Amino acid sequence: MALVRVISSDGAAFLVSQRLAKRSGKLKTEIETFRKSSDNSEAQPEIRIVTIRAEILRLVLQWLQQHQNDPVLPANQNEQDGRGDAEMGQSQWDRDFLAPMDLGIVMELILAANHLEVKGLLDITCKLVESKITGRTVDEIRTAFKLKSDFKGNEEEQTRLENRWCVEN
Amino acid sequence: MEQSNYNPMLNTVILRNIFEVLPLSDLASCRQVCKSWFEESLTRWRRDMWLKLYDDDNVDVGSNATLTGLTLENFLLELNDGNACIRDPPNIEMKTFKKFKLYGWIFNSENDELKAQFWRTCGPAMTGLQIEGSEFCSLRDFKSVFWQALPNLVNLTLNNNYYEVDPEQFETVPAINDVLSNARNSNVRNLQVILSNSDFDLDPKFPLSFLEFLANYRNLKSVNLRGLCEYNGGLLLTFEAFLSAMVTLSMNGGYRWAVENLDILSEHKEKITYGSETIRLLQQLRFPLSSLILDIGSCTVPSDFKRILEIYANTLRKLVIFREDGHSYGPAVSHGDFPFEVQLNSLTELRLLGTAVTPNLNFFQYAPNLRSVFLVHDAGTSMLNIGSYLSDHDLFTTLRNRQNESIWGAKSPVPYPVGNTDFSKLENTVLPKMEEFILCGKHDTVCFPEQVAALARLMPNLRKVRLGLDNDGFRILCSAWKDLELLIIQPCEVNNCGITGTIPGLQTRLPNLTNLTRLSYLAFGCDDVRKSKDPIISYDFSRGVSTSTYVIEDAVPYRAQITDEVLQEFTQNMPHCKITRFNTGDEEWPEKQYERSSEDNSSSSNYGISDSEEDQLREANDDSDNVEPEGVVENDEMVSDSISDADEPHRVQADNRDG
Repeated sequence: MALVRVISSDGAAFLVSQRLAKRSGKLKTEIETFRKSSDNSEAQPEIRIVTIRAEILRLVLQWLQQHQNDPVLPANQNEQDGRGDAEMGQSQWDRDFLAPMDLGIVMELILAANHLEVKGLLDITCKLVESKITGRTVDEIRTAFKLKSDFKGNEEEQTRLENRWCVEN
Repeated sequence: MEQSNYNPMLNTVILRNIFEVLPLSDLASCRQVCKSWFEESLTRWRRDMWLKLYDDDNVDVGSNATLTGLTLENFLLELNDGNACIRDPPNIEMKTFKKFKLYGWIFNSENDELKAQFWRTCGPAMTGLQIEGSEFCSLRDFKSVFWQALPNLVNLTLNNNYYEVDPEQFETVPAINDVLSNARNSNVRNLQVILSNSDFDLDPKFPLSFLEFLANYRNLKSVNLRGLCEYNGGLLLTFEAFLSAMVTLSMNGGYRWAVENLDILSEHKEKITYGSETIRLLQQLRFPLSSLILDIGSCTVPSDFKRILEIYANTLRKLVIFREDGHSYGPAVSHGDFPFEVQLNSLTELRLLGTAVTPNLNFFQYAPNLRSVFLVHDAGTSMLNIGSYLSDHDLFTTLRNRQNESIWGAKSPVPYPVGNTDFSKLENTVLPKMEEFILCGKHDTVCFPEQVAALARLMPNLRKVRLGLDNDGFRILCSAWKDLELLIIQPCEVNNCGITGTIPGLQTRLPNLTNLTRLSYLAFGCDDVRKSKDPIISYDFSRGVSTSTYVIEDAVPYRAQITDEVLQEFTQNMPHCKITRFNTGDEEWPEKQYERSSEDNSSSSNYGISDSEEDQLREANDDSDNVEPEGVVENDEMVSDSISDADEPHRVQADNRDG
C-alpha cells in the first residue's frame, strides 16, 4: 500500500495511505506534485503542513478515515431543494466526533479543512458554528463570540436600513 | 504570545466559510455585529440577497427610511459615485447586487434614461430578476425587457403584473418558424409565473403566447406555476397551454426539455380535476422530474392520479400532494390507496397535505428509500411555530392560509393514519433511512402502545417525530428512538409519571425523557386538542455547552398533567438552562367548530386527572425520587423488559380512576 508522511507544524508525522490522503484536495495535489518531481516512483512522499498542529491534523485524518468509503458527494443536484450536502452527509458518527470539542478546536478544524480542502469536514464544522448563530440577536451573537461593535457614527443604523432593502426571495 | 487577543471569529477564512452556509436571515444579523463581519458578509449578501428597487415614477418618494427598498434613482446614484447607502470597504472591489426585485415599475416605450442605465450596468451580471406589481404598457414593452441582454440570468419571476395587451394579440398564433428564428437562447433555469389576482383584472392573461415566451428558455430546470391563474378552470387551461407550447417546441424546434422541478400547487381555492388532456401532455413531455408539488384536486380519480405518478416513478425524489375536501362535488375519492401500487424507489421526501388526503401508512412498502414523511391534514399552531427545526416548514404556513380561506363547509373527520394502517401488510418492510415522521391533524388520536412499537420497528432510525402519545406509548418511544432530536407529542396524554418514568410503588424508573439525550426540540400538546383553552407557556432552554438548544414549546393541557415542577426538574438536570415564559393566548386549532361540546365534556373526564389524584401522583413521585439512586435503570434491555410488567400497577390505577 502506497503511503505518505504528513507532518504537522509541530513536527508530528502521520503515516497514512495515499488513497486516504487523496481525499483531501490539497494532499492530492501535493502527492501528484511530488510524483512528477521525483525520479524514484517508489519514494514515499513527505508533506509538511506548516499551518496545522498535530492535535488538529489527527482529527482531520481521523475524520477522513471514518469517511474514506463515502461516495464523493454529488454537486447539489436539485437547486430548489435548498438542501446542502452537509445536511445529507452528517452522520451520527460526525455528531459524536464534534460533541466534545470546544469552539476553539472547531475553529482550528475549519481552518484546517479549508486549507486541506476537505469539503465534508468543512461543512459539518461550519454547520456547528452556524447553530450557535442562528436565531440569535445581534447582541447575543456579540456576547457569544466576545466581539465588540466597532461601527462609527450611524454606520450600524445604516446597515440596519440597508437590510430592509433586501429580501431572501 | 498574542494568543489571548486573537479571536478566531475575526478570521477571514472562518467567517467567509461560515457565512456561506448561514441562513440569509441570520446573515442580516451578522452584518450588524462589527465591521469585519460586515465586510466579510458582503460577497454572499450581494450574491444571494434580492435588492428591492422601486420605480421613481411610480412611488411617492418621501423619506428613504420609510421605504423597504431603494428607488432606482438612488440606487444608480450609489453605483455611480456615492457610498452612503451601498457602502463598500475601500479594499474590496465593488461587487454590485446580482438579484433584483422590481416593484411597481412602469414599462412604457418612452425613453427612460434611468432604466436604460439600469439594464446597461446591472444586466450583464444579473442572475435573478423578479418583476412584481408592475405594469407593462404594451407587448413591445414586455418584449423589450425579456429580449434584453441578460446573459447570466438564472432566476426569473413574474408576479402579479398588469399587462396592457391588445386582445387581438391572442387571436394571432405566431408561426413556429418565426418563433424559432426570433428566439434568444437564455440560461434561465428557474421560472416562476404568477398572474394577477387583482379585482379589476378578472381575466388575467399572459401577454405573450407561451410558444414565443418559452422559445427563449430552453434550459428550464424548475417551473413554478403556482397561481398561474385563479379564475374558474383557468389554472388547468393555462397549464395545458403552457405544456402544449413545450410539446410544440420539442417537436418542431428540437427542444429537449429537462425540467426537474415542477410546482403547480395553486395558491388559491380552485376546483382542479386532472384529466386526460393534461396527462397526455405530461406523458408526451416526460420530464425527468425529481420534485413534483401539486394540488391533485378533489375530484381527480385514482386511475388518473396513478398515471401521473407512473410518468415520474423512476426519478421522483420529492413529492408534495395537496388535496382539499371536495364536498360540493360529492364525497371525496378515497386516496387511501396511494400510491396505487406504483413503486417509487427514488422517493425520499413525501408530503401529503390537506383534509382530503386520507391515507394509511401502507404506502411505506412502495417507497423503501423514504427519509422524511409529513402527513398533515391541518397545520396546527405547534407546527407553525416550529421554524427551521423541520425541513419544509414553510409548507405549513401555506397550508394554514388555505385553511383560513376555506370556502367549503364542515369537514368530515379524517381517520388517523396510524389507526388506519394494516401493520400486518408491512411486516416485511423496514425503512432504515426514515428520519422525519410528522403526523398532524385535528382528529389525531393517541397511538396505542403496540402501534408505537410497530412504528418503531418500521422506522428504527427516526430523529424527528410528531405523534399522539400516552404514558405507555411515550415509554416505548423513549426506549426505541433514543436518538430523537425533535419530538412533538400531540395529542398528549403523557403525565408526570410518563415524563419522569416513575410509577407509584415501583422502585425502578421506566424509560423516560432523560433517555432522549439528543433532543433539541420538545413540545407537548394538550391532552385533548379540543380542550385547549389555556394560554401557551413556552420554555426556552439554551444550553451553553452543547450544540443544541432545548426548547419546550407547550400548549399546556387543560388540566396540566405535566406539572411545572417536573419540567423544571428536567431543566435543572441540564446545566446552563435559560427559562423564559410568555403567554400568547394562542391555540392549536383556532377554528370554532372544535369548542367542547357537552358530549366531549362527559367523555373527557376519563383521562383528565383530578387535582387530588394529581397530588397523589406527585407524592408518589417524591417517594420514588427518594429511592432513585439505587433504582435508576440504565440498562436498555432491562428497560424494555420491564415495560410490560411495570405497566400493570399503572393500569390498575387507571382502572381505579375510571371506576
